[in-house]
Amino acid sequence: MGISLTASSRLPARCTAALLVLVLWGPACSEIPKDPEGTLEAARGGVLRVGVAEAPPWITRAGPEATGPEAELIRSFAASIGARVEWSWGVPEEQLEKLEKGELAIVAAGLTRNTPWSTRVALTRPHTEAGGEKHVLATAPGENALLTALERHLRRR
Amino acid sequence: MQRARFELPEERRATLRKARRLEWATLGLMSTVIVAVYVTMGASQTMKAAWIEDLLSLVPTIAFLVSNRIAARPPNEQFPYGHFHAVSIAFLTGAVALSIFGLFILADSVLGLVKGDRPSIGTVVIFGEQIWAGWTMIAALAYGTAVPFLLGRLKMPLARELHDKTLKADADMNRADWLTGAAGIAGILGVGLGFWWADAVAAGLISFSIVKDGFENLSGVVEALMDRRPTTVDGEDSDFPERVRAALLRLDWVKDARVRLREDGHVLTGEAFVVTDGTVVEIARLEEAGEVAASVDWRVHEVVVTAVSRLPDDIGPKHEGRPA
Repeated sequence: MGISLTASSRLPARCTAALLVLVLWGPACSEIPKDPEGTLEAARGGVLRVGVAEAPPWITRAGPEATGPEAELIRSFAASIGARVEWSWGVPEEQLEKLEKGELAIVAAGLTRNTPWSTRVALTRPHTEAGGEKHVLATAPGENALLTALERHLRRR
Repeated sequence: MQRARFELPEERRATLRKARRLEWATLGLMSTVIVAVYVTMGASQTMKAAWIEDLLSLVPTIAFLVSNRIAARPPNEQFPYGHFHAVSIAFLTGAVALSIFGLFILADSVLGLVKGDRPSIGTVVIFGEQIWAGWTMIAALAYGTAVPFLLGRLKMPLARELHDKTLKADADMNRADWLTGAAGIAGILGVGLGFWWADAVAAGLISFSIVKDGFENLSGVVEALMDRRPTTVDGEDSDFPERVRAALLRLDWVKDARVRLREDGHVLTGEAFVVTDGTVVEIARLEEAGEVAASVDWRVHEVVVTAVSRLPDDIGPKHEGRPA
């Protein structure tokens, strides 16, 4: 039994063809994904707003600066996009709330994959697995260019 | 002599076997689609909607396969009218589920849009390559659209040949999947281009399609359960009652007749009320009339002919013109 293209199937056939063209051309297009709020672009060559909360050994405080494995990851990421890091300290809840509103770009607070905030902010792929827990960084929800760039960086290091 | 058990004509039995094989293939292939969409789903509303639609699309498929087992059983003491309605009930449940889920997803999408929920789609690593997860979602959607669309096109001619409404409903839902795929892919691409609301909008469109399927199937099965007069697979009234009446009127002892038929799975059953020209009617003549009625078409399985003194007014289709 063959499949024939009758009049009633021309519209889906055309739409599919159009979409296929878009999709095949897509991955070549480095524009995808884009940030709705342009967070990554704003940070390039500018300021990367990072919220931190004390969570040894992942994030520890040294004056106004942050140290620890997560801090290093963020520093190297910022260097890769030519940005200067602006650390702002606080408790995890208030940092994550600011992140949700888009006032911060990244939050590092020793978070793990099963944090209850996973539905309200974006979590990166785990950067380290320790003690059975997958440790992640958090980024502003919906800012997919930033999230993608950060995840690529995490994998490269 | 009335046939105690309905047997499809030989060519149609072959078609039925083909249809069954196709439906089993559908179950298998759609399971892979469901897994593929689930695995790539992430936090996308669009993907969730597509996944639920794929899950629910199994209902008519399973209903068809079940109908070939349970509904085909001959009548017994407990179920003297046979088992055909088992299929309608399975279908009814499916249609209700579709309608409710569809409305739920629609409400969820609108709420998400109003709240400004933004889908976060990062990267995924497959075969050692790290790519944007949106591409795997699009790939899953494309697969999950092409498979049912092609299956639906293969099923449609079989459904028409068998006059099988369950199979046709299944084929219809499969073919409508191209819209889900197109909307879904557009939604994910939209998110990729920075339009965060594209996800919720696409999910809303998909849910419209789910609700439409649900309501259409719902009205179809409700009519069937209400013993509506027979229709073609496209839902138009068919002329079987009139043709059976005409066949009966050709018998010389029949002065007038009124016929009512209903659908019982693939076949039609019903009653014919005849008025004679005054001659005494023997049982053999009534039985012969039943055979004449059933011979009108392979689908007419059993018509119980009964002689009455006066035709009932409210039974059967209204006829214009005088009795023969």
